[in-house]
Amino acid sequence: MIRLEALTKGFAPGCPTLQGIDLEIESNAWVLISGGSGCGKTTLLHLMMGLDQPSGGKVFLHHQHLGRLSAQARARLRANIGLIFQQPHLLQRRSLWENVAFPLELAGQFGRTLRQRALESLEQLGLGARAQALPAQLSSTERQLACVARALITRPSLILADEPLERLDPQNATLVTDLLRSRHHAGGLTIVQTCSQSPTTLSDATARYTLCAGQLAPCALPEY
Amino acid sequence: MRAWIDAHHKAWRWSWGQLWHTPWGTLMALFILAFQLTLPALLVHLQRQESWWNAVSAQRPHLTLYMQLEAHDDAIQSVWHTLAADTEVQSFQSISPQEALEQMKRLPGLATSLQNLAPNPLPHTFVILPRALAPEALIALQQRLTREPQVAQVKLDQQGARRLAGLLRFGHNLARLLALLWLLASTFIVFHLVREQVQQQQQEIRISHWIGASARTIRRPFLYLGTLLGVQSALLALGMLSALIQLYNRTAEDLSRLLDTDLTLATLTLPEILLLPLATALLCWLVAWISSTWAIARVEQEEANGTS
Repeated sequence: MIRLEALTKGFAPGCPTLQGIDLEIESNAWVLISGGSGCGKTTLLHLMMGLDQPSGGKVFLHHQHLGRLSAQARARLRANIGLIFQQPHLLQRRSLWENVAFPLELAGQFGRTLRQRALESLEQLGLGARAQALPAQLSSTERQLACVARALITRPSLILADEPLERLDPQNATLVTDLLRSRHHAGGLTIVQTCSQSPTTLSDATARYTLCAGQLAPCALPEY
Repeated sequence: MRAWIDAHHKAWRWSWGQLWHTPWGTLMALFILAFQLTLPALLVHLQRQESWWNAVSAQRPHLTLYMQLEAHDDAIQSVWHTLAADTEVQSFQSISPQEALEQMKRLPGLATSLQNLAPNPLPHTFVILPRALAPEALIALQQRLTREPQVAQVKLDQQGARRLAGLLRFGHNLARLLALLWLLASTFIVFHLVREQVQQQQQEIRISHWIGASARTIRRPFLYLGTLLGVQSALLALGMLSALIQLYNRTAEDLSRLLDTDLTLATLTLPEILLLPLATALLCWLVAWISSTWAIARVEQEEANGTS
């Protein structure tokens, strides 16, 4: 599903953030990438999303070399992926349900179905009552939950989540993890998730990596 | 199809929301644009007012048709009917030999000398005011009238007509140039207004692009915004223009009566009323397209540079 070949990314000459990363993520995997602040987790995920260009190496997503695609083609590809950003980016002039429904709109859905599915997604995360609120009227936890709802609404086959639990309290973090787990277990959902510390409670991860000094190192999976 | 309508409906609602969100800013922008549009529209309207240019021309060329001295009443009547039917003739005055003699007698110094003329030596005369001012049209009219039966001579100051035509051409060109300059200024203002909106929405554009929105989807609300600004300001400009013409005509009517001419302006025609909003909408749409495409290109450039 995702293949990284000798992936390198540097923002300053002679000081690469990522150095020659090779990684292959199969379908239905749940990959956890942990690492300290500023180690390059977001950069790595942005490269997988096609939001950044690597300094060297290749990124393949669904067997397509992202470096060879136009910005528009990469955007089309992203429309089929569930993206959860580190910052809860929402469209400020749209209500919460309209924000959540936006990927469905891009997929050509409309009307009552659109609203119904957005409301269902919000209900699952306990935000049903806030559906009409504007992003400015929401707490950062609610915004983050809305981003999770938006990422899941199209029932994508791949979720790229950049520290999705960091802004959430333990109760909501469990809610999100349970939701991801149920979708993952239902089959067909691949998850690539970053976190500052590898959550030991997450037993579903099929692979764990640590990003340190630009290198990706596999970690042993905890035994339960 | 319904998805398409729904997407357009949302974009349309968003653009209204944008305008409504900052009512004073929108109102100011609309008035600035409307003022910018009123002047070129007025100049274009003036350019099409042939009769107004005729009236404001101080030395209007005219033709003087002299009948032969022995011309019969039938021939004079025939010329009269020809002139009345000719579309190139705006108005004419028929002066009989007696009337001409009376007029001449009123001129100082001529009264006593004319007393001694036993038979009236003056022919029947027509003073003709042509509709067109182009020298070619005047010469054609002169030649046509010369061929009428028992016409002795048709006089026209060709040099004067050419001079006046040159002056009017200069006036038309100047009006056209000014209209073009104002239109250009309007274009820059629309561009700036839409660009400002796009700048304010830079983060929204970025998020939409990240989530996978196509350039067309991102651009759509800005296109509506530009078009709405264009149509509304054009309607406001039409209102201003109509009021301006009404106010002008009120003053011009009195002056026209005093000068025995028609200085009033015709009201706006239906094609003019339709053309202004349509042309402005198209222009604003184009400007919004360029402006939003530019903003999207910038986000894509950030991606290419690896700075997103």
